[in-house]
Amino acid sequence: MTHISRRRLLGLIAAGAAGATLNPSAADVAPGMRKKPIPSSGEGIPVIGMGTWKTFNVGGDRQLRLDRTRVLGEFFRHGGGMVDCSPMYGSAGAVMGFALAQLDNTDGLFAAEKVWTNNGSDTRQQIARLESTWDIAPFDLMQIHNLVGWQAHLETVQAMKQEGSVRYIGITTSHGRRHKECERIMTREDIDFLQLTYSVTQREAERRLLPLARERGIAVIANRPYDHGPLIRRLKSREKVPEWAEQAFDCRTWADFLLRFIVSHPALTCAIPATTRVDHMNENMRAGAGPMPTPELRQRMARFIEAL
Amino acid sequence: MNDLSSYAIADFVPFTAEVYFRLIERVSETWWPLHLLTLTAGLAAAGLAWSGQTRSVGGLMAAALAWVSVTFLLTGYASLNWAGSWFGWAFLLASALLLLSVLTQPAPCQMPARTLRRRDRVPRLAGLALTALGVPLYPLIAPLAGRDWSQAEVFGIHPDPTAVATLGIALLTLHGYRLWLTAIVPLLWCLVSALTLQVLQAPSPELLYAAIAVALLTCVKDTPLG
Ligand SMILES: NC(=O)c1ccc[n+]([C@@H]2O[C@H](COP(=O)([O-])OP(=O)(O)OC[C@H]3O[C@@H](n4cnc5c(N)ncnc54)[C@H](OP(=O)(O)O)[C@@H]3O)[C@@H](O)[C@H]2O)c1
Repeated sequence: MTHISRRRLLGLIAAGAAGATLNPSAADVAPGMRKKPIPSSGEGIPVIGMGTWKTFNVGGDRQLRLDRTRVLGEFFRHGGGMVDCSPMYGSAGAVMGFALAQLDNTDGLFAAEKVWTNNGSDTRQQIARLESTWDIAPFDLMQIHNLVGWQAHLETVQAMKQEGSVRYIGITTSHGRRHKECERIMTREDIDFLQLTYSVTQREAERRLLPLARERGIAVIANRPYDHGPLIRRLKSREKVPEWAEQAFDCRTWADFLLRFIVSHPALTCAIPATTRVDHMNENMRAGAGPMPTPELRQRMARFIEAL
Repeated sequence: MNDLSSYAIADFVPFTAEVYFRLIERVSETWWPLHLLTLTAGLAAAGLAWSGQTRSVGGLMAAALAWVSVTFLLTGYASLNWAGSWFGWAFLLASALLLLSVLTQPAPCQMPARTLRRRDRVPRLAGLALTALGVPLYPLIAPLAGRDWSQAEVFGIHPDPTAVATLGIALLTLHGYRLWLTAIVPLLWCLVSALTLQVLQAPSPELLYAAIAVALLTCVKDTPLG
């Protein structure tokens, strides 16, 4: 992925003094964000990425755009990689383009977008529009959102991958929907990534899709790691992180607990929590830097949450 | 710990409450003090509609719908919601339909005055109530709900009060299929907006549901469908 430098330069000039505060210092970063390999290539990506659904869709509101730029700055400061977006997320792609243009350090960015249109002949045009809103080409990962019109889109993105116009390709689903169809695609088609809902409370994927992903060498992205927010908000407001978790794998926050549960699954490549807040981003990224729970501890964690 | 029932609706609201209310605020800031003019126009429309001067009312209301379509829906809301521009075009369509309906509506004096008064009592009261909600009362909702005055929604500037007032004026001035034609887009918007507010856990979706119920019941009473 390469930025188109002219616009980036203009963005930096326009940001002026504000830019200085948008670009955070390297202090207070948890060392050693873990990486996991993408099975189809062996390339490592950080186990904590970020989503943008709702959180980055702020339209033309400059104040909120600058706020989100700070959140993205924090992400890169901690060695973040995958940023996941979609044409369904309103202005999120444009806001991402704006934020990337303001930041000095976007090293490690792994830009993941989606094709989302019923029109099977519009794949290339939609990807071209996304490239211009992000000011990026090529995208690292192009996914077919919720399998909408997947046959036609997959054919086109496979051809684009051959041409070098996208680096990896994938499909997405969420809320446990259409797992049968995902399974068929994973078995018959050549894809690098599968994105699905997986969290300590949403473990449907453990039955078939995660074992199949391992078998087929497909990287897995976990969306909705906090069940869209209520999960972590309720835990934070009502419960203390159990002591045994802190002793066993230095689990200090609920973000540590929930995200490490996800990314310690052997089939999982990364989780993509979304946030509007710098402090939450900080917390989420730290979860990717510490020790991970063993399979036995994972079982205990799941039982603990079930019992609440 | 999951609320599966909210997923389907939540999937169609791709922004947070903060972003939505800031859009309301920014559009307000951009056009202030036009609010004073639109509120006066709304009150004038109510007065004209009450006294049966349908054509001038049609002009005022059509202008308000078209203005909100361009300045709020197509310019701001469409950047937040992929379906936003559809609503913008729908408001423009509603504006045209309203104008067409009032221009082709037979003059009320073609009916005997007493029949007219009796037949019209319910729609007129319902129409007056909805216009009152849409024009003078709507700006008070934000401060009463604990939000800042800068987020007050105003007839002719923001879509919710404009849609509610359009329903009210339609009930005051139109009958039969013309009433249905004019009411359909504002009714749909009120529903979409009420669901949006519900997903955002923002106050006052109940008012919009109430407006929909009042308008629908009155339309059905006026002209039973089928
Ligand atoms: N079919 C698909 O392709 C699909 C479907 C669903 C999701 N996704 C992707 O997956 C991403 C993640 O899913 P999601 O956004 O639905 O839900 P999520 O990441 O499970 O939850 C997001 C919510 O969690 C809160 N949060 C984040 N970090 C927190 C922390 N440390 N402490 C407390 N609260 C925290 C955020 O609020 P604050 O802003 O207050 O932090 C936000 O409301 C999406 O953004 C999207 O990119 C893809």
